[in-house]
Amino acid sequence: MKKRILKLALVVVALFATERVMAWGGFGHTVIAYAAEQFLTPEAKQKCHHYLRSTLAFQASWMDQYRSIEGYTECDKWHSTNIDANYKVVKGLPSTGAYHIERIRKEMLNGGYKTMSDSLVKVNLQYLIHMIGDHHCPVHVRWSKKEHPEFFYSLKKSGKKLGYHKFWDGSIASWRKGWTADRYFEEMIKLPKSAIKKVQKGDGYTWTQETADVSRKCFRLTPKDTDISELSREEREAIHVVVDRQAQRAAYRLAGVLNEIFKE
Amino acid sequence: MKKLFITLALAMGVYTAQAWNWVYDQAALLLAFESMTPEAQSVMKQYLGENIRQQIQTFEQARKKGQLLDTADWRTVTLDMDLKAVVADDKNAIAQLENAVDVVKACASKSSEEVAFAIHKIIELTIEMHNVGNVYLEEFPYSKEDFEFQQSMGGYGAKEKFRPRKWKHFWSYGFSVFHSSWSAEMHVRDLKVCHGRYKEQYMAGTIRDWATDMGKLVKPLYAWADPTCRLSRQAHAEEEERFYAGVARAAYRIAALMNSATK
Repeated sequence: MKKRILKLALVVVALFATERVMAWGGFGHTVIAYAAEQFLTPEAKQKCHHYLRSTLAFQASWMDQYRSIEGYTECDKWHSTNIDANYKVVKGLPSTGAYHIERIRKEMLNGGYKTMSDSLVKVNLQYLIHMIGDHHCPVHVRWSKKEHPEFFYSLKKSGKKLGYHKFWDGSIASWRKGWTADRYFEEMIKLPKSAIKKVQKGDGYTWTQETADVSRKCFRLTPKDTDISELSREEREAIHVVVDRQAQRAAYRLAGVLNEIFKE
Repeated sequence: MKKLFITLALAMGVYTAQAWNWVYDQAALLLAFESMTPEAQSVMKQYLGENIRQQIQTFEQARKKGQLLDTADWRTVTLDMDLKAVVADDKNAIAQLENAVDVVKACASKSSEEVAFAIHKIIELTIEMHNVGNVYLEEFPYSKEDFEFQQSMGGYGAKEKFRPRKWKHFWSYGFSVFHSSWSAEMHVRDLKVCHGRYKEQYMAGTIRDWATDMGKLVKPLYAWADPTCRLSRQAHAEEEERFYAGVARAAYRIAALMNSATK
């Protein structure tokens, strides 16, 4: 009987497992893509819908769904970017996401997308939607264990071991049970025009550098062995301030990139 | 331990009893309402009340309480070898929908309860007949029965892991995992972007034509889906398009039925 119950429990867990292993969590990616779509110019929105045949939000986790599928496994490395011993983003490395954000962006800019097949434009958009989101997630900068052993530890949840990466990946959704992405967007702080321009400045590398700096701050917010179920309201609030700001920036920047690409 | 078992059993019970995950039903109804004529919208509100989004899965809920048990048979469509609808009796979605449209057309001579029941049929059975798991093809006898197939749980090549999954359960709930934080309104937006341009095409024709249309959509599935099949992660992700196509068709066709019934 115990074995049967355990089996049943495993089946139930497996049914929901796909969602849990996604980077930024499915929720985080969806809110970023959904918010970005609200910031698109009408031309960019029309072009995105034309190539994607869907909203941006629908494609938000496509790279996670396909990362273990043959033919796409190379892109598994594009979800994050290396940071060196001096806390600086590593540039020009094809096995990193920031490299491909910039590559795709440059290839598509100035009408470049018009020289591509529709399916290539689609897949490039799918990559940008996901990677720009990922590169604002504090655990999607790749620290070297050799150079920064201090960044490799676990947290706890109700006394049980909880992976540091797992916690921060899902941190937008933490303590927000039942929230939908459009509800999150309603509550998202919207920036004035002048601030949007400032946020959208830079490129995949500078944004990743900023995330690396945020990532170091996150280690201070949840040091080794922090039991996240015992965090105070203020401590939880501090975590939300960081991740909400990152999600907001990712959304404005994704929209900025797409608006720039599809500018007539 | 006993408590855990009961909780799991209840959770599984809920999942096997519903049409699609409720959010897709709600999205279909919201999009349908948006696509209706003002007359049809007004009739729907008159008989079901202002809160339209709540008017989903009413038969499902009743069946859970042991009521309206006959409605379980009304959800399906059967198609012959030429993908023509088989309507031998009234225990199918087609006969029940045709009857429901007639009742709404004659609403002046019917009681409020009768009309409300007919509108519920239009909503729920149109949704049900667009669920892959409710479309039976005589060419593939196993389509009528629920069967287990192997669904990929990750990995690729030789390392891909599979687990058994019930076919009908998969077509009801197998896709919500991709969009768990979506509201019905978000799905409505997406359905319009994906399928809005096919609106007229979906709404044209009769209920029997729609059954044939679903047969065409579903038939390629049974070429590879049988009790021995293994569904890869890629196929799972790709099949979402077919699932969504069913939701969009259901939405626009609820509107078509309500429009024609209230013209």
